[in-house]
Amino acid sequence: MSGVISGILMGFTSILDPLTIGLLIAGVIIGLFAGATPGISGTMIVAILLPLTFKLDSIPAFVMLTAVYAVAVFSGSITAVLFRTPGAPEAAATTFDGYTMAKKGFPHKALGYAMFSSFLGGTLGAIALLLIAPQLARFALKFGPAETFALILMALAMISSLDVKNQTKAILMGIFGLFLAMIGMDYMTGVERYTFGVPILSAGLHFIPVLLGLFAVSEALRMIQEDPEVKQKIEKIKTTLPTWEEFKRLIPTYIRAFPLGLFIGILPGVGATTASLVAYSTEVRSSKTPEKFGTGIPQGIAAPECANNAAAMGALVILLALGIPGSATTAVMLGGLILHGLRPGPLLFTLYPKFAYAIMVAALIANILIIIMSPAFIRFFSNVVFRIPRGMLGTLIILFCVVGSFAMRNNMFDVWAVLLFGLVGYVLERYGYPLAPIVIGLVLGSLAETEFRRTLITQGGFMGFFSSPISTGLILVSIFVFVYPFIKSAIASRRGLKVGSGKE
Amino acid sequence: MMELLAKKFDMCRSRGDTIVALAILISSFYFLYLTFQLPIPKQGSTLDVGPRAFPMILLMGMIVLSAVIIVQNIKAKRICELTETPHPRNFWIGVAFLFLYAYLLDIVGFVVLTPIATYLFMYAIGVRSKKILIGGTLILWLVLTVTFPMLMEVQLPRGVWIFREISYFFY
Amino acid sequence: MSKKVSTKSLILVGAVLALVVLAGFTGCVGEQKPAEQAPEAPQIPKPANHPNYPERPITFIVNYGAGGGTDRFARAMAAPMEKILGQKIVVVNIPGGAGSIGEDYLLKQPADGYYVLAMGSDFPINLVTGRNPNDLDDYYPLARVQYDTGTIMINAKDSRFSNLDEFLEYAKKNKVVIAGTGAGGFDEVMVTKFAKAAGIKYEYVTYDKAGKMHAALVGGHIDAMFEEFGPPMSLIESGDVKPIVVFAEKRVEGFEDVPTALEYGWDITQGRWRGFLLKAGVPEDIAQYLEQVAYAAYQTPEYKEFEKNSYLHLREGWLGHEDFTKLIKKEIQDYAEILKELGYIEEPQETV
Repeated sequence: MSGVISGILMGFTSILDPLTIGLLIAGVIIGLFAGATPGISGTMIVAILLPLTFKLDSIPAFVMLTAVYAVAVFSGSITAVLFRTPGAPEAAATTFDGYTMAKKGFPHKALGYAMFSSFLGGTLGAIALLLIAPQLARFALKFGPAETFALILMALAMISSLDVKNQTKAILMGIFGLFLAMIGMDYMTGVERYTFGVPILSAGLHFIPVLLGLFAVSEALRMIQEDPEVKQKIEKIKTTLPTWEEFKRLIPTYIRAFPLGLFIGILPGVGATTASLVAYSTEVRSSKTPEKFGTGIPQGIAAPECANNAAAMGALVILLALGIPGSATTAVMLGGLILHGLRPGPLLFTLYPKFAYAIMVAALIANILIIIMSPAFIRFFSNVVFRIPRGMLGTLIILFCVVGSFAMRNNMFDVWAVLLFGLVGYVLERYGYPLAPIVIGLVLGSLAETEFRRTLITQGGFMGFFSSPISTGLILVSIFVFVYPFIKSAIASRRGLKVGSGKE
Repeated sequence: MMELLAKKFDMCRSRGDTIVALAILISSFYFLYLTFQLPIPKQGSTLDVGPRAFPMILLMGMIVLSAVIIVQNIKAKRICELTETPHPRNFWIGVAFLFLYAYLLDIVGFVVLTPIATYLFMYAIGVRSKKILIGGTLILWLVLTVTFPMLMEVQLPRGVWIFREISYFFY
Repeated sequence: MSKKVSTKSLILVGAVLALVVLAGFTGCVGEQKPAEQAPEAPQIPKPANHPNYPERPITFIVNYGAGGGTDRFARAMAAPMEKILGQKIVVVNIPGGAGSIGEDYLLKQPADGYYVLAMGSDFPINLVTGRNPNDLDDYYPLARVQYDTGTIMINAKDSRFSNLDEFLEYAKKNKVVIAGTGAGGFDEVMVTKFAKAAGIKYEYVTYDKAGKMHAALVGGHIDAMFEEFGPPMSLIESGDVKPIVVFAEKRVEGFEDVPTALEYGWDITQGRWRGFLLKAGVPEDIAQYLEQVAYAAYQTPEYKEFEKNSYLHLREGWLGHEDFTKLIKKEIQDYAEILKELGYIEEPQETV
């Protein structure tokens, strides 16, 4: 333990020089801007900044990149709350309740919840990173394909309790989302599915154009129908942190979302977006009032925002402790580290303790800076954006979504996808088909399929799913979770209770 | 179960709802047909369920559920009140413009097409103030051009012929 | 009126601020003005008919995502090449379809020498399977730069086997799971060749991300993986993962105790390579100039250090235009046979 404390002190001292601190703060600012811009992801920014860091020492360079990485995960929620436009994919789940809360007239509260939860998830995640990274990483390795599949299955099963008002539609949309994930090349066999011989389709539907289309473009299409020369109603947003009472009510949420987020972040190739959606689903399931989700309740913002920042730290855990990139951004960072002549891995803490602790301390400070620096950014941002007349704002959102979707993969197909799904989202929502399950299905779909099939191959068949107590337990819980709402309503109707009275 | 659900939520009948479900139903059948055409690779693990299994299950699920929704809608007694405002004519023109934008992007290129499309789009959705039209177009164009191709080095479509030459001036 | 003006100025301030924050870095941190470093860089005579080439930034198309091996290769080569060319190189990632989308994208660009595709061993495979619908003649193979060395690696703490002999003995009686990245790609071909030559019982499983595969091996969820030395190096150093057989002509430095496949009588020596392609029709003088520039960059200490850090220095990578073209032609023939054997191209692939 004393080794850790001296390590932390070493980390603090090694970033205590004007250049490093300046770069850390600059990293936070860049992260805020990048995260709030649809189409500019943390991955892109880190890739763009990397070559510029070669003149620097490795510590200041990666302190800055870590700050960008940590903050960009949060700031996507700003646009998600204000315009239903997730500025970063990790904020997808924040639109579900954040935007509805803002629409009810509490954007400052919604942003406050998002900011505080991100801060909490990120800071706790960074502390876990500092204290027990190697142990955590080793523990996560025990999670094989069967366990990952079971975890994803559980999140998917919760779709049935997501929109109690119309379960059939919610489940249909969830399956629709899962099906969208099937388009493109099948990872396991290389077979191209539903590509109609068009090469660009073999890359499959990217999650970001679909997400931006369904939520942002469809909302912008609605926005421009109103008088386009009028400015938005909400102005001058002063972020309000949750009060002590509100915080106390959220503690159970944090107790669920934080470890879940951190753990999913550590699993390689799963990522913060998945973490936030799984945390959201878990929260719905654990709630006594699942029907309130999607109507703008604090738990619906707190769970995904806490989980995604924790997951971002989780990805750093496995990167630093084992040298395995858990997400796209950490993969780019790993490449940069190698170009700097460093090789993260189990020996990093022995060979380059100064570097390792500097990065971890920087991650901690960056997450704390979220709560210090973002109110000013949000004020500035809303001041600018809410002076824009509605017609122009709608145009701006649509254009950013179109160009941003292109930017993800430099693929014209994504431009078509964002527009098409803009219309699809618009039509579906008009007729009461919920959009959230599509996003959950699409994000988890390919993961569910590949992990399922990987389990079959590596564990020698279907029995593989029940070879470990973790996966067996999770699968049984998923089945129960999926069927439970139906059983509940069946029992209710058989008893002839006042059906539907408390439900709508 | 269908009746149970219909009773439980006191469904109302909505034509748009049915049309959406019908569209999903029909396209699910079409994709199911395509799924049966998918090749099954000879190599690969014998334990794998192959590329067809997952989509097939999902499509069948979609067929059943969309059918349930259609039946619910037909059986429902009362007709939904239409609360939505009708679309202004200009809205659909705007949507058409967006798709035209995507289509022309590869030909005219980002730099030239964007300001034209922005101006026309804003006009189409009903902006008439010259200040917003011209100022807005310029600002949007500037912000997008600076952010994406210049700062983020995104290679947005350059278009062909002279448009390509123009784009080299910016990125 | 005045309010409107302030609206616009505010927006402008926002845009400018974002610009300053980012671009400020380019200036103060980077200071990578290519012209400054030009004197140190080797001088290569400009193309005869295009003395001003390159007049504007050159685009490196990477047909895989950011952070992968090909992406790192392109960015590591871009840095010294920028200095020699005196022009910026923009790296653009166009991932998807096992690299075929980026390969197709190159052909949609003009053949003016401003678009260079950084790609790897999956290119000939994509041509054979038809995933890339174009023909080799549509491309101008510029040079092969990296020649990586593949191995079969196992979990170093595995109690069942700790070297190739024990692995073979185990795998002849029990089925083993060997992982690789990509289906029907280079890794699967190598694993199949190895397993057939060794006569073992196996299942091949693919991982979309190499990191995930490493985690699965350390976590004990798979028995072995096909991988190059570089990516899991930190896990090799820490004693989590170890190579048991190397696919090279001779044993490699630093791993002298790991036998080659040749020693067991299996003729498997190919490695994953990475190189550059141009679109066919690029003026001959520009193509030759680019080849010389790439060679000069390949020789810089900067790049050599990157190769050493990534364990790519084990075998000589460079092949010029002519040899590289021959290599690709030969590989296309080889893969056509192997993939037919594997059942991937038995009948013309129908895409739905």
